[in-house]
Amino acid sequence: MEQGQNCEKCGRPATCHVTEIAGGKMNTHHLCESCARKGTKIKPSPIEMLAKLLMQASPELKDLAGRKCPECGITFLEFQSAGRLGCPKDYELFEPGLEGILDRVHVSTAHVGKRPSADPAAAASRKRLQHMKQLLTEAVAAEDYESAAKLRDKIREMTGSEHEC
Amino acid sequence: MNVDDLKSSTGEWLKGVGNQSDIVISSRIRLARNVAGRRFVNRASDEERTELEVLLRDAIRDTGLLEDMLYLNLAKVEPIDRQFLVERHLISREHAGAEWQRGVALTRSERASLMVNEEDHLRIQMLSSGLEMEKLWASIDELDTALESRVDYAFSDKYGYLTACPTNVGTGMRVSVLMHLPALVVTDEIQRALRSLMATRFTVRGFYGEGTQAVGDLYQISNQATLGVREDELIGEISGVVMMIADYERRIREAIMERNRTAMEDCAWRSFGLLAHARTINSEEALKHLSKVRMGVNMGVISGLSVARLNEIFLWTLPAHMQKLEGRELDPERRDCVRARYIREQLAQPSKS
Repeated sequence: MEQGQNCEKCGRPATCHVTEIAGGKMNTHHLCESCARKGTKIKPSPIEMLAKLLMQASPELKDLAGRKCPECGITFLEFQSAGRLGCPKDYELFEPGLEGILDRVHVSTAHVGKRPSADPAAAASRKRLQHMKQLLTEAVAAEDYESAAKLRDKIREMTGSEHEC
Repeated sequence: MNVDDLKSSTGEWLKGVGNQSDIVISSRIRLARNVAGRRFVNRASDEERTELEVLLRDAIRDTGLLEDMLYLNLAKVEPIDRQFLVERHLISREHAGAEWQRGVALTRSERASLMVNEEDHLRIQMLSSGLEMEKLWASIDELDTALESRVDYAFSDKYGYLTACPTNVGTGMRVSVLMHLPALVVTDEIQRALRSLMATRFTVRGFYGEGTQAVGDLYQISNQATLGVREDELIGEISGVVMMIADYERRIREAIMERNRTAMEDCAWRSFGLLAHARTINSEEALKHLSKVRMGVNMGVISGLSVARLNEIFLWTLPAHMQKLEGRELDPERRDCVRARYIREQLAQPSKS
């Protein structure tokens, strides 16, 4: 363990070095004897912690706190306390607040790796299929079995043709 | 096929075969995916969750890639069966306990499990015994691509696959490997091994129990970052890291055998003796001694017992499994007696392999 560290709570020279493995992460804490005696309780969620730090560091981000998503109704503050976003749109809406968090948690803030098929025809057919399935669910719920049967046949046709290629 | 059909097997991850299987118990990859234009599970209404469940269940079925598939609507599955699935690593504890429409698609081999409406709309998981990352990636990638042609995933050019928790965004991929490291633990070299991991992108945690002293000497290595790192990079890196730790463990095992064979034999056989004669034992103590016996088997000290058999004993002494075996509910005290009896019976039988 490194020497010459200061206590992370009070800044005095640290004499206790605690390695904790929790929630899939290994954390090392450096504490002086008196702080160590008081016990070390690690904050619940790293996301929450990082978000809080970020807010302190950048007061201009405070306007984010009140921002509310029109799609799912979540506010940035709610996200901070729950650690979970409400819908895919939130990534755009809360981008200024998320960038710092993503930067700390990940390797970078830009995706590399797998992408959905770039073929626009395939994407369009996928969307159509998903839409028809949605209509089918609604038709069944409304007990409109005639429409449901038609939709089911069309979906079969579409998925059947996909199997062939 | 139903949950009871799984009773005749022990599941993919406990087969005790595959690369490095003297040290690596199992490999796992999971992908987190969400449907475009829908709220994440935690903010969705009950109707939306029901719709999503139907949509994803059908899409999974349509791929035709899951052999002998079983789909369970978890809201209709008994708590004891849900616990059984948790113990088999087929669903998460959170998924078992959630209170909304949700499901899981499984294959009979227990290699694939797809959780619908867990934290994300879809969590695709593939498990394998031993270190088999490349194979797992090939299968999960194929399944994911087949699903992608049926479901419009929430994806952003910049952030990749969008997930409810920003810690999963990007590839949505978590790779993890479960390792058995008794020699590193007994010689206290484990801290050094774990510290060496800090220079990599992987983290480690004890598989059972709290703190650095993992119960049963089981450690799980997994990646933290999912954004800014490609899937194939992670697969290659984790395999490298795991092989490095496995080599370290193996070297220490050899050194112990050279210098202190008697102490090693004593440790393994004492645990065997305890398991073979105890009248009551809790799961933590059982796991601890099964670990020492496993070490003895892998180091050639104990013969006539296979790792697969030990895995079977371990699995069937977990609470839900034992209650399934007994066909009735057991209070914890009674459970400890039944567990001890089951282990005694198993160790008294000549080995199947």
